Amino acid sequence: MAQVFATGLAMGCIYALVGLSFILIYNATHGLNFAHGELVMLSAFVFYSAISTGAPYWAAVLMTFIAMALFGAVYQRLLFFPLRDRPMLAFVIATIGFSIFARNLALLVWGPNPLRVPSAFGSSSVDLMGVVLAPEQLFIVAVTICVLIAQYAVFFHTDLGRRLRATAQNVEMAQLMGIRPNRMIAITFVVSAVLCGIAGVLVAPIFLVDTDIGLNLILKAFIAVIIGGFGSVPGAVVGGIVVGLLEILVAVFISSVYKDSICFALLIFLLIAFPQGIFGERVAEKA
Amino acid sequence: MRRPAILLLLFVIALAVPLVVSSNYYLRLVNLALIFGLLAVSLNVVLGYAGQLSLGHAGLFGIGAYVTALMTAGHSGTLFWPAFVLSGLVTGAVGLLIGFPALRLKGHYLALATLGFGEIMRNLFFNWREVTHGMDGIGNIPPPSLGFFAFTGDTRFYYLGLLMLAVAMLLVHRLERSKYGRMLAAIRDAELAAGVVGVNVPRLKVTAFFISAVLAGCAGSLYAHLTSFISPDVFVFDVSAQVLSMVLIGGIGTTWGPVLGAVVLTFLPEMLRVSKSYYQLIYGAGIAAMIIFFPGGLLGMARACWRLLVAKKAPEDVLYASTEPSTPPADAMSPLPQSRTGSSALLVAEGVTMRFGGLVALKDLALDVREGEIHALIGPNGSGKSTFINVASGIYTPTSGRIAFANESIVGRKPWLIAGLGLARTFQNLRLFQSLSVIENVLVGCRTSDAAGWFGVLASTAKAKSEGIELQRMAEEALNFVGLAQFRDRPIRTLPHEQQRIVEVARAIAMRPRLIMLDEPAAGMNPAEVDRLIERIRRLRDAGMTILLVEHNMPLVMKVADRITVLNHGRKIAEGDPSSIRDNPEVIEAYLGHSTRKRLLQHAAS
Amino acid sequence: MPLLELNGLRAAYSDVVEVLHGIDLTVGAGELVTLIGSNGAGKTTTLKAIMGMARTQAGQISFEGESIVGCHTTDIATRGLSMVPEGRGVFPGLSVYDNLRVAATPWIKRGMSLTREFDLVFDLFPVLAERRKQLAWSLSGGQQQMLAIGRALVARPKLMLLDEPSLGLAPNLVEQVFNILVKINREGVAILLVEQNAFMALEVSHRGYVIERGKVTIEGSAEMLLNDNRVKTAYLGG
Repeated sequence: MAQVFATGLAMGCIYALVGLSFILIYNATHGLNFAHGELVMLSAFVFYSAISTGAPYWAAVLMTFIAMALFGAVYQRLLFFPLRDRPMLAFVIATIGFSIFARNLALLVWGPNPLRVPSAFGSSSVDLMGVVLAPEQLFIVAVTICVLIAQYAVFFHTDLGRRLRATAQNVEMAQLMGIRPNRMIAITFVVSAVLCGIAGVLVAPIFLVDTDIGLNLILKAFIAVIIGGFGSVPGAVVGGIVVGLLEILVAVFISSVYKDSICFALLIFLLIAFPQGIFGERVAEKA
Repeated sequence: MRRPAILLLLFVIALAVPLVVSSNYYLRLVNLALIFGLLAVSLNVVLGYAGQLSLGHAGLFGIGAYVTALMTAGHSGTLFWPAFVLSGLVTGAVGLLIGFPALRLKGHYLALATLGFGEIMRNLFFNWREVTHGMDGIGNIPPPSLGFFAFTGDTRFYYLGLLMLAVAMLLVHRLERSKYGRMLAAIRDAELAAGVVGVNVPRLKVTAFFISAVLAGCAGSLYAHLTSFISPDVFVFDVSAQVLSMVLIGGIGTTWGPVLGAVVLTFLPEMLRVSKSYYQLIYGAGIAAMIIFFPGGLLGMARACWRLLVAKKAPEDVLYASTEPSTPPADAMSPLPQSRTGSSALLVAEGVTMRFGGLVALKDLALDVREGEIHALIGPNGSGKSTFINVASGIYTPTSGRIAFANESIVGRKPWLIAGLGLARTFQNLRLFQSLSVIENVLVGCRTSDAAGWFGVLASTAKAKSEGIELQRMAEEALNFVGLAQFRDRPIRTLPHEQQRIVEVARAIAMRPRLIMLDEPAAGMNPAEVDRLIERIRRLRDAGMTILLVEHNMPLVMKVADRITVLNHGRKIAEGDPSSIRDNPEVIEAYLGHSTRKRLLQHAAS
Repeated sequence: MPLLELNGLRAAYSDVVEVLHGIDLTVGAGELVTLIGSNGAGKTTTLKAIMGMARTQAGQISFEGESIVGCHTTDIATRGLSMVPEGRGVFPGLSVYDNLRVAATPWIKRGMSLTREFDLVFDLFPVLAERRKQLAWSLSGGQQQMLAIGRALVARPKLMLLDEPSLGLAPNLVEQVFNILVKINREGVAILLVEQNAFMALEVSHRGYVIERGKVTIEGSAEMLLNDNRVKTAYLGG
């Protein structure tokens, strides 16, 4: 049971990371980035290639992050920037188009066969108070906690973080405060892409890497974000962990075939029962 | 008119397609384009007209296909007709089911809920093997037949598909141009305002989902009979996304755009097949590029080209709208049906308390507005004035207390029902329907006593036509009354602020209300404009309306109000005629301030 | 040399709703100047054009003798021009302190201490000091207006542009806002004010301009405008 719990928690942390990085872009641009799963997929592939060159683990990780940071900047410039003054839907469609592009690009570059990325920890296990756990899982949880703390510190206790949040809330006013909104939004995309890079590096050893992992991740991240309340950062994290645990519990105790259906049914139920999510969108519509 | 000529030309071209396209392969693509065109038209009803983003249309498409497949597989093609109808109805019923959550969900929430719905359906198609045969799919679906005539082969099927698509487009076009089309646009642009001018928002939204689902189910049925074999991998998220792209690339919210988009996106990948392994790559990038470079979709682009090449485009002359309203004839508004009963109370609130979490916005408020009076509600910011209007118009339900309008309790009633009783309002921050013209905004507020229903509108019956004319007359009357008749066809956003406020008033009085609540109508107006506003408010009263006025502009309040109620921190601190309020020490302390009072006194003296 | 000088300014904002057909206007250092006019006459567009938020088609805008036409809003804002837009524009999800801090960041990045500016703001608006950790959306309308003015003030402006600061405020709050503007002006900050409440605005101003249909039609000292018959009938309410 404890192992099941740990597996769910680790998966939940991945969903939380994807959800969190998704929310960063949403908060800054009010755009839903449907290609977000593909960012994770691409970073998992890049990480695979980096590891295959024989580079040490940390160097491969670093290369992945640098690649994703560059990618985030380019992605912002090509896809978001031209659409910044258009309705949200335009950006949604553009990202759907990009996700088709990215999946087929990955297919051409890395081929259709799932790739295996070796774990940094081998197949050892850790005994924690009588429970045998995979170090991989502990690592995922620890990294997620560190990312959250770092993210909170940057966004709430630095001038850069205040400016990022200010730009997300009112672009025109941010300009009047001497902020360059385009630069802030570009930074947001870079940070978000690097978070996807982290998720990709973490997920690569526990999944087989193929072109479809992105879709599964983004769907689960959506559920996480909805459970947590759209736009809420702590909500996305809690939501992610809930989804991870729920998924494994359903698979073990109810049906592994219908586990996704049950998750989505729960999503729809939650949406109808609690339209504001657990943490809720704070600013209600005022007449 | 050029339009009928173009339609005729299109019709002839459409009839000739099978004669020109000889390859069976391409004719199959043409047929697929028809079916996806129907699916895109279906999505356009919810997305383009009602503004509700659905990412689950592949699921609806699949339901239609499976219903028809299960009924007819291995049987005679004559079964097509009942199966086709049933596909539409079953899918429509499912559409109702996903329409209901849409009532509570907005924007991205709805998008994700429908995405979840699509995923559930995909899972069901895959895994409910007893019924759907999972990945094996269902084969042997017969071509439709009518007696001894079977629509076998792509040429015959083409004419059937074309007929279905044409009928669907005609009905949807009628819907768009009808009062229901305007109401959907109103919901899309400003849902809250649509509710308070009497649009039954949930019923309309659900109906839009129903219509859309019926069309999607019909498309699914046609698809199954065209290909004679279906399997779950056709009904996945990618198809929902593809249909969405068709609508956007063709031209959202237009009659022809979705079909155009379907044709282009069906043929585009085939054109790209020349570079076999790269075509999906180009396709994905192409969708993104189309959205980025052609904002209005292909139809928008075509129109822009047309205007550039053929029509001489006159620049819109909207630099300065005359701020002087025309003087309308004194009896521009036909008398109200209700008889006035002197000074009896029309709106009565007793013990009304409204809490938001820990915040108490209204505390045990008692207020009565008498028939025929101009009653002002004033008080500091955050004292609960707007909250009271929101409570009285049904946007909020009070935590406790009673509110009666014309002796009927309105606590817990929906905004459109309250509007139906004759209680209208305007908004402090303008909430006009931005995509509609001035007169269309007003038309949303108009109702006839003998309204045509959905059937009447879709079948374009005589009753529906005469209702349309009657509504038009009522809207013009309301515009004449406020003196905005000369702007009737202008897009809302080209009007100056003062006029936009007046359009809100016109929209409210088009409902022929007994009571109209004006929320800071003078905000941002200068004294000359305020003087005109005073005239208009008095004329509303003279036309038989009772007025509840929330306003900070004290000269205006002092000039027009018969009685004034002052709120502070959600409580009533004073009530009386203007001069007693002006001299009330508590009011001066909490709200008025000494120099404003002095100025008001000077005003009164001069 | 005036602090701000507009010469024959022609500008368009958004579509075609408001247009300027050649505005001449100056604001001297330490002056308090009011712009009055009907809705749609071009007052807001004038402020936006100064801040680089409207398309300037012709004419000159110079600030401290240097042309700022075509400059990016961000650069104009860091030159000592602060604007308080209509509707206040506070960052709803940021605390009161963070709202102020964002405005101060360009100066803090240059290594300046803004203790004096923060002290001044908290002195003028004690309520902001009490609520420095509260999120801005939870403030009342009046408090938000104070935060917006305070935020413009910590950006160390030489000239402050205000668009309808009294909009939607209770009369006693309007009085308070005007009193504070006078205090800020006495600190040496020049103010260009757009106001529908022309009477109160002119009472505290040094000079005023009337804009009609995109042109300045009347200009002069505040006293002169207050006694001008045309101004009286059209903008002061008789």
